[in-house]
Amino acid sequence: MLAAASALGGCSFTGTLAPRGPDAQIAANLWWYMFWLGTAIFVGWLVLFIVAMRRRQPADADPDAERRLHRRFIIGGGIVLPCLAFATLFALDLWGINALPQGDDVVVEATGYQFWWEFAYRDPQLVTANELYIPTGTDVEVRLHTEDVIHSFWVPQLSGKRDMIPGRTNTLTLHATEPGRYLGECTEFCGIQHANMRFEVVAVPPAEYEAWHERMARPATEPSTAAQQRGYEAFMNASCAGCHAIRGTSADGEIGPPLTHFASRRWLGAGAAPNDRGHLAGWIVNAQTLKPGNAMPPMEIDAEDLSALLDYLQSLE
Amino acid sequence: MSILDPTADSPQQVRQRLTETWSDPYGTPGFFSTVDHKRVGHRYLVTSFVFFLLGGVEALLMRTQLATPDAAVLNPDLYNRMLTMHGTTMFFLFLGTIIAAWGNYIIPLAIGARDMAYPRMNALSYWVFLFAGIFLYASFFVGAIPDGGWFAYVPLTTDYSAGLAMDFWALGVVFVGISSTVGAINFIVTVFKMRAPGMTMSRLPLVVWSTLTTSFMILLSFPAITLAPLLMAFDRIVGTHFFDAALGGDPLLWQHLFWFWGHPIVYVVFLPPIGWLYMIIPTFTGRPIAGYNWAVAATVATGFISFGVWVHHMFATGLPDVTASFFSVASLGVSFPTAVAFFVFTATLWTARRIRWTAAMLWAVGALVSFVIGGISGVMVAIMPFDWQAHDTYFVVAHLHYVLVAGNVLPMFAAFHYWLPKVTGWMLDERLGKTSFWVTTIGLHVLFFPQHWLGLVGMPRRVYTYPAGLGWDVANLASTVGGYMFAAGVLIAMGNFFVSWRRRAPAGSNPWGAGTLEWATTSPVAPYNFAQIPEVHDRYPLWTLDGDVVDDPVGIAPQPGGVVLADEHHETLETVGLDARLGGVLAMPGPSYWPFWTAAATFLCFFGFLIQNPITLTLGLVAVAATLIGWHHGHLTGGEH
Repeated sequence: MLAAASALGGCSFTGTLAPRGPDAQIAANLWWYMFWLGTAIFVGWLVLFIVAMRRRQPADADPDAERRLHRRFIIGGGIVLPCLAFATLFALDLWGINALPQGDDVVVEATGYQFWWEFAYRDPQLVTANELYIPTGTDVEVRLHTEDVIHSFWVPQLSGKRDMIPGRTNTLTLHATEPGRYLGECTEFCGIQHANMRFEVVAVPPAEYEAWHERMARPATEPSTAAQQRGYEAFMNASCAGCHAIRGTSADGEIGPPLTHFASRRWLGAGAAPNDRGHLAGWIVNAQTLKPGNAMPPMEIDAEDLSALLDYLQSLE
Repeated sequence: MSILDPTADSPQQVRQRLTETWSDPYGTPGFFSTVDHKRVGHRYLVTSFVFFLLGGVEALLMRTQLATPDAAVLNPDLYNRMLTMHGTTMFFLFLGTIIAAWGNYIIPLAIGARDMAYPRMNALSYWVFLFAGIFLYASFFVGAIPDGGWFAYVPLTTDYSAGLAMDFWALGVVFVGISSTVGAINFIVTVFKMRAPGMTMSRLPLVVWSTLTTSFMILLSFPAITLAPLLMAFDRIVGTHFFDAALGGDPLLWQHLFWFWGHPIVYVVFLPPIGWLYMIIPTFTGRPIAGYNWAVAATVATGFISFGVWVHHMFATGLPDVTASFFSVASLGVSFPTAVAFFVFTATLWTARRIRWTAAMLWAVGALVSFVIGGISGVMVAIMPFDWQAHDTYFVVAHLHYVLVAGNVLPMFAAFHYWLPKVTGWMLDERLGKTSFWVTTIGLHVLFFPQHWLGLVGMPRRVYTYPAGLGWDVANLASTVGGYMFAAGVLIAMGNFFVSWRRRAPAGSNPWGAGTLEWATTSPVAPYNFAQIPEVHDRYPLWTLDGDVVDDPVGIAPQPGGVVLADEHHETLETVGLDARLGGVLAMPGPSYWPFWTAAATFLCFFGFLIQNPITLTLGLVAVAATLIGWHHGHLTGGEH
């Protein structure tokens, strides 16, 4: 089903171990420090433990000397060693927390839905879905909301995760040091399609970001061919417009993702399938096949209308 | 009360009369009315193990689905239901009850008692556990298997979950909590009042200390897991808004309540198993545990600290950094008592004259070595900037399974190999025991070790599938192979049980040459436990100062001049104070049907709540009241009060 989705996040995706921002870099450094510290403690203890198992205490050993030895073991391993590890780790903890980026040069309102993401930008205002464009080298404050259940917003290569909780607004700072497409995932179990609730962070140089922002703030492209016009009418007359919004038209539904510049997006159904004509047709006819349990019902639509609808949707660059 | 004088009656006559007094009625009446802690223990063992297998099958189904990307073994709906029931079964019906199983069987024997302090409550706690398990699994038969995750985060489980599925979950969890609470009270009173004369608190076997500590932890933490699902059930069934943010409720309240139980319970499920290892390792090294006082302090300290760490499950919820840092420090603090425990074991082995590598010892040592990996990854996720990455990924799945499987399941097998001869009177096969150890333990590491890596490279938990091309395929396949290997090891261990059962190699009273009191009586244990309640003078009553094993312990052969209690009633000694001075003779209640009926009536209450039928609910409440009256009446005539 999702074979074509294999490029999602790029083939080189290695999550938190391939950081592309300062937050993820701090976490990755912490991980490697702790990995080596943990390995040293484990191996050190294991060697001691194996020696303990293999050696033989002489039968005439002095009981008082044994007791002293026991005490030395327990104080050394149970008090001194954890004290050292504790101090090191707590220092790392505080250092890590204080080194995290905190800026808000760009602000995005992100809202979680079962099972997709809405991203709202200001100045000028625009709403899009499942693709989060950010300028590189900039602190982007993402304000996290949810429309239904608890979701969690995670871009492993850029930063740690934060929950989207009803009645609260959490914030998270994204900062990408280099351009690229970064996989984002929902990490709080949010229902039947928790597994297919992905998004992409697209980090582009600031000038390119400005151009994108300006382009996306425009209303949708008008239908320019007869087929597109028929598709436009099909969209408005079928139940599509009840759930989806297309800016500049009468479609203003708020249940599904906005489709104003739908054709510019790479993925359908929050990472469920690539956004090409074939998958889009399948999605419209029965989205339950590609992503069972999502909110979009199967559509009764005849072949010609479907073809026209695909023409129209694919024109929404 | 009457006292038999062993000088006047022969040991055979003494044992004969004790058997007549303490035996249950024969057949079905005895089955439903028994209050014998050993029979209750058997039942707990069998029932918990059955739930372990059910939870294991659910886990294997999930691992099969995840073996390859985009697989279609389970559909997403069924996967989520298996996910929910795996966690729920393992936590509520296995991990938390296998400790009650060994606790019931071993604690009274290890402290030289004839039964638990409240035998009928003991029977009740089992029947409630059984009925609660049946209640939860009844959801399978009406097509309403819980699907909101075993942690049941609101509002997914309140406003966004239709049907009975999460009602089954919420009520089932409250139901099983009654069993744990009743059991915990019983353990506490048993340890404080029923120890053999002379068994001071500083001579208490370490498994008793760990069970005592966890019993207090259960008493303090279970109110949260009783309250929270009840509030959830009210939100769902009655229409209240405790967790509804739109109407002034708070979804985070659920998480605080859930983890206020959920974290202490992790220590509840591994402290008693560490206690089993405290018993097993000295036996096979032939030496007392090193640093007894340290081990006790570590056990109690873990219990205390466990209540200050629950927020480390909630670092990603956006709590203020200062608040969260407190819990980060507390979580690091748990490393102290845990390290003490591990160096207690290391020191004990260091000064061993000779280690006997029995299957039980292998399982015990394998558990220790495996557990350290889970301990170290646990310290890592206490560091917030790292936890924000690792949280809710497979890294945490790996961590928690290392802790729970190495901290509970492997010790459970060690305990099986160690104590089963006492329970059944026959030995388990050593060679099969060792084979099952190696297969299971290697399976454990193949299963869970790659999951650390999966989490680090970005695989979230609780996903029913994943796309190809993200670099997760090989590790997932390895993990699944490890899962089947683990299952094969468990099957070999079960095969060992049945093979050994047919062979019935007699165990004798003390096959391992152990030093603690549970080995001072016959195997299988007579209904009265000890013909004469032993008097205790040190921590290992069955070991002489030279390290030899006492041949004919007093519990088996009553000594001339010793006090033997026997009558037509169940009688045992009560001791008082921390030094276990002789307090008097207790008349204990005998067999009774009332615990069974009380549990059945409780089932009716929960069933009425579930189907939202006030008449059934009222009938259930009346029935509970009626059975409690009957119970009280039976107690007054049964004993001598």
